[in-house]
Amino acid sequence: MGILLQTIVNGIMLGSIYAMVALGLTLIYGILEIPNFAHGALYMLGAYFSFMIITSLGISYWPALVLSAVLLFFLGMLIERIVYRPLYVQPVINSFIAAVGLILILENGALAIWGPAFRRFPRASSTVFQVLGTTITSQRIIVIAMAVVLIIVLHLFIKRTRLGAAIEATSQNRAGAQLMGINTSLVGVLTFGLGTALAAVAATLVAPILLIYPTMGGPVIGMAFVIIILGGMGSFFGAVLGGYIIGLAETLFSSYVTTNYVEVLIFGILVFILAVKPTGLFGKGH
Amino acid sequence: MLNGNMNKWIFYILLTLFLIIAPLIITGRYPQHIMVMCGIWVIASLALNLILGYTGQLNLAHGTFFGIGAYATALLVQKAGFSFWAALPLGCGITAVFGFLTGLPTLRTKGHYFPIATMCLGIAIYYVIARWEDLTGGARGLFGLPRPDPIPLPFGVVISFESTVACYYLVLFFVFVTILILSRLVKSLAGVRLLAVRGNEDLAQSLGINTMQAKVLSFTLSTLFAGLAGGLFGAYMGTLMAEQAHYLLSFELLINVMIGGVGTLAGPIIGGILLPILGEILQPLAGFRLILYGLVLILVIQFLPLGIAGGWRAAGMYWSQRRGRK
Repeated sequence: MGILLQTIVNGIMLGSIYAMVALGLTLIYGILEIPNFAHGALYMLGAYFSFMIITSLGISYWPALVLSAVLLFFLGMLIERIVYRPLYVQPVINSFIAAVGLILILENGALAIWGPAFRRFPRASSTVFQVLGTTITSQRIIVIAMAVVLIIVLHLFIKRTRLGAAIEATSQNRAGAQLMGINTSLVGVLTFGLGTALAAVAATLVAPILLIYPTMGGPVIGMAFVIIILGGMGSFFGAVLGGYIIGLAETLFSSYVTTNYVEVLIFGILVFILAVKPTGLFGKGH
Repeated sequence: MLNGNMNKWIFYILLTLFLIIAPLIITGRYPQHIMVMCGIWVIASLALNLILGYTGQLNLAHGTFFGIGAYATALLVQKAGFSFWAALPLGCGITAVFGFLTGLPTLRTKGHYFPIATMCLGIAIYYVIARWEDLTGGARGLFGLPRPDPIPLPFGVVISFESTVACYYLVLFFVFVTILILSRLVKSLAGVRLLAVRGNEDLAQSLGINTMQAKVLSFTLSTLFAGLAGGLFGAYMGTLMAEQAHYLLSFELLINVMIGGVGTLAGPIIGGILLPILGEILQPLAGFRLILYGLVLILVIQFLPLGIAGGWRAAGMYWSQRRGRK
């Protein structure tokens, strides 16, 4: 019972991180129709930025999280303008290849600056709770609670604000949105920044629990893509629900079957979805 | 036109002759080692170009299939006791089966699923190879792999593959085989079908082309040749590490094709020769080499989408037009 509860808490914690990363990825996909393969590398960069801000500038955890998110917001916008924008007139496949170039620059840049070593991240708080015979660190609760808050805020932002409505309209029908006078180019660049900032927040939240290293984005981006395909590419709720499903599946599989082949299970899920229902749970369809 | 064709054939024949006598001119183990490696990368890059350049599908796990071929061939030799000459075709076959089974669900859908799925496959297979200690040796890798078995010829002559030069000729032979098969395929009716799929999949389908069949065929063949390159790599190097299936390898092969010129026959050959040599020259830069490659990749896509081969062709057309005007 204790182990099961611990596993479920861990699964929800992991799912919260996945949901945030996948949400950023799916928002960007919804607007720009490019699967941003570099999203995982930007997630990694978000963790390192926070790490640097905390350890070098001596700023405390929460302001560092905000600062890192703001930096990644601008970096995301810069990348959209410099790397992806010139490619919109070319076959889509070229944007994917450009993303590979980005991964090489970001991952090896991080490797050159911070080295390959795993780094331990300072915690926001280190209280430990005892619930039903299981120990739960406060950082895990922070991750879970922050994810819920952010998802709700983001949902309200999209549903209740003018900019949010513009984002939704552009993702539903780009040409239609343009005809309604929406500056889709501006919406695109802002969404890219927003999605990237979300990855930075997710990375900073989970960094005190997991270690940080330059290639930490690789496994996460793989999971995030499986999640948004499971949820339906471009679907907000699909990404959230998919995130929790995959997070739970991963931790349950790790504790009860084997820790070694989680990636194979996740890839199996992907193949299964593609074979049975490629549009996912809430997909728009082709 | 006839004259141009003649020139082309003379160029090809001279190039072939040069490649055959190259080890006599370029002596020294280190340059010869790089020549062998270039041959292996040319085979792998040509294979990637079939699915990427001629069929328009981005496979982000090409390096993974290279790794599967390398491990399959090596394990058949080391653990199952097969001769290299039986293990190599079997290893290619196993890789192609993997490719076929991956292609069936992922190529069925149009759009972005194929690159995403192949990337996830690449990550998954890498971890399997890195962690399945009993089969692959895990992080330690496989070592002590034998060179290909000697081939006995009549009159007591034996071709042995202990020397680098012998391996060079072995790899060169397979480079020619790969070029021959892939160039024949691309120029055949099946090749035209692939180009139609690349150009406009819906249109191709409406013309009665079975686009799914074309894509799966191209992908399976492409993985088969990736497996061939991998099998040769293992036998030549004698050791295999999980890095030989890492997505970084897929990226490097992608760079070979993109910088050389995607969708051209010469492109992967240029890229497969140029980039490994460049890699050796840039060795002192260590990690900065890959940062540089990333930058170059983005610049090439933005300003020279058909790479060196495409740029060369465009420059040639520009000059002949200018001459025509005069």
